[in-house]
Amino acid sequence: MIVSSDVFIVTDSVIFNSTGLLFVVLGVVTSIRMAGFPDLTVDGSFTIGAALYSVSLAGGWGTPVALLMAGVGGAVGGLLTWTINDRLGVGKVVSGVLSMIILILSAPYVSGGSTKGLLNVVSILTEIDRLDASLSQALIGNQPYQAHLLFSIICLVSFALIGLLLVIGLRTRSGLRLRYVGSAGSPTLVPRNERRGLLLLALIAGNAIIAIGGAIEAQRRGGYTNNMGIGMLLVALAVLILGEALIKSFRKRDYLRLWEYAVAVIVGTIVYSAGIQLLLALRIDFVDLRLLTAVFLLILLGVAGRAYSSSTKLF
Amino acid sequence: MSTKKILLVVVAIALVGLGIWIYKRKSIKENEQLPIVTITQIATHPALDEVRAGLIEGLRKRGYEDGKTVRIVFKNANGDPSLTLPIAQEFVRMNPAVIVPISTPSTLSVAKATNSLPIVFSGVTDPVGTGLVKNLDRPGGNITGVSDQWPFEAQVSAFLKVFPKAHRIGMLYTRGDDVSKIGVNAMTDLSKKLGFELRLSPVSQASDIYPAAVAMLRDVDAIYTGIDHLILENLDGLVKASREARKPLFGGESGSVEKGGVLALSINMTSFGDLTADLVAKILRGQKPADIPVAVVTSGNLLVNKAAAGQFGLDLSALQNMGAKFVDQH
Repeated sequence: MIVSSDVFIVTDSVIFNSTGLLFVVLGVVTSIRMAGFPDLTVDGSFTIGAALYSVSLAGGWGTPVALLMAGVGGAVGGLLTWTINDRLGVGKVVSGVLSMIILILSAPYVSGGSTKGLLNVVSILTEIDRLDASLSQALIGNQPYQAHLLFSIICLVSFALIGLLLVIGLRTRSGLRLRYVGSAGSPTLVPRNERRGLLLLALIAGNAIIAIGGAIEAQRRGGYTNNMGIGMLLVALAVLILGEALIKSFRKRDYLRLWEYAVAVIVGTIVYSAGIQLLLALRIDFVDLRLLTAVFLLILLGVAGRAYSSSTKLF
Repeated sequence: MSTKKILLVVVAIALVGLGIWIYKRKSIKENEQLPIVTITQIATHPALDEVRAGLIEGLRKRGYEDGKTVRIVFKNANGDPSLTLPIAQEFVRMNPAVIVPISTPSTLSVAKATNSLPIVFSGVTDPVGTGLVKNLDRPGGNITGVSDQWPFEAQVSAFLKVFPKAHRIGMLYTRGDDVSKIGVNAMTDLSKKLGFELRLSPVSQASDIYPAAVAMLRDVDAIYTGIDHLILENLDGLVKASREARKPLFGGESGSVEKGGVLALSINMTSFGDLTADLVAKILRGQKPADIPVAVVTSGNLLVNKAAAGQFGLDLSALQNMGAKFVDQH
């Protein structure tokens, strides 16, 4: 045994359990924070991503194609929200809700049932799992559990790549205009047609990233189950607000730069999963955990967030 | 106090908590000689809670009492699917003798978290289709358990015996749900075998149940609750509609009779848990999950709602001869 197995395995679990959530929060930042669209599609694009990934992988299409399918599913979800909002003239919140319902209800058709197990589906990720198993045996000895170092690293690197692409995209001229549209109350400096295009782009990108998060979760949890996306938006928002409050109070200002948003996503997610691990081990039941998360958020926002208020925002 | 100081305090509290926790884990590990049985379920739900109660009672009957001969650890995901995996990881770290996940999402996560520790699932409808076991008779891996397939035939036959004139039976189901699909297939086969006419109507959310039931009850003789989770969790709409139409509602859960259904041949969830306890006990005695067949419940007990039976003019003494138990609620 090279490392203390307790500390090692808990740290590993915290990072491993953050991998899917990181993508979801990144997607939420894109559509809700950058484009300023109160996008409630999240639960739906998460579910459809998980369903498409599972069914493609089980169909023998390989991990990259399955991930691509998930991303496409999420993008279609974003497109749907935009179409309902822009073309049918339905309010933003309601169009998100409608799109979410459509996606959640169509996911079982896509996957052919309310569950799609991935336990026996061999893919490149199961190979990585096997490597992880021998790696953790070398590090912490023969234990009934294993670490997920390589899997986590692969997810984190992909997260970094997608995050970098997003930051680069948002720093271009169009990206700047999108952020202006998302943050200004009445963004009259950008013509209406351009605003619509930018919004479409943000919704597609955001929901595609969320769907990839759903795919990673399906892989981690052993398959797709039809209720797995329920409440995802709330978790993601809580994580985002937590991360934002922490970074804002650390930087002592009421706005965040682009890269600080990326840091806020990571910090929020890690703190959230670490909190879950802590409360799990302290034998606190989960009704309390959810209550405690809310109280914890409230205290943090009351202390740190009050100086940098976001009370005029929708989220 | 500046915000940086507050952050410092928060971080300090977290570190102290972490320290206490690691210390506690160490001491637990050192003092604990009893074999650990860990139980998890996806949500708080009357049926799942009864399974768990039956499991713990069944273990006690077989000589495995919490705190004396075995240590039982229970964690509930409380309806948040993203918590199933963290719970599974925590369980695996405890190095238990058996892990008992109740419901499919919990079972998948536990199966994903370990492929060496013995797992006895409870309440998984299609263990082969989900890839948990290779086949029901010889599971083959570290997983076995109890599948919650329903005794449809026994239920419908019991109803037809009491209501011989009923010919058209209606059932609601959730579109795209595996469990519901099993119910629909079983009932379709059964309608040919027993010679009744089956009417089906899909719902997709709780608020659809009442209107769908009202529409269906116009042209059926009776309505069957089926196995569908959504409908079983929201029975009130179905009960209300059947009462208004004055047509009998029958089912397979004791809860449906208590709410106003006329009769049910119910699988006792407690005995379901007992069956699970039997498998857990076998593993605690040293058997391998690979050799223990997946168990299925086949029988049930007949429950009759007294008020509803009176309303339909049923002969209570004849029902008693059939072995029915009466429920007084209406």
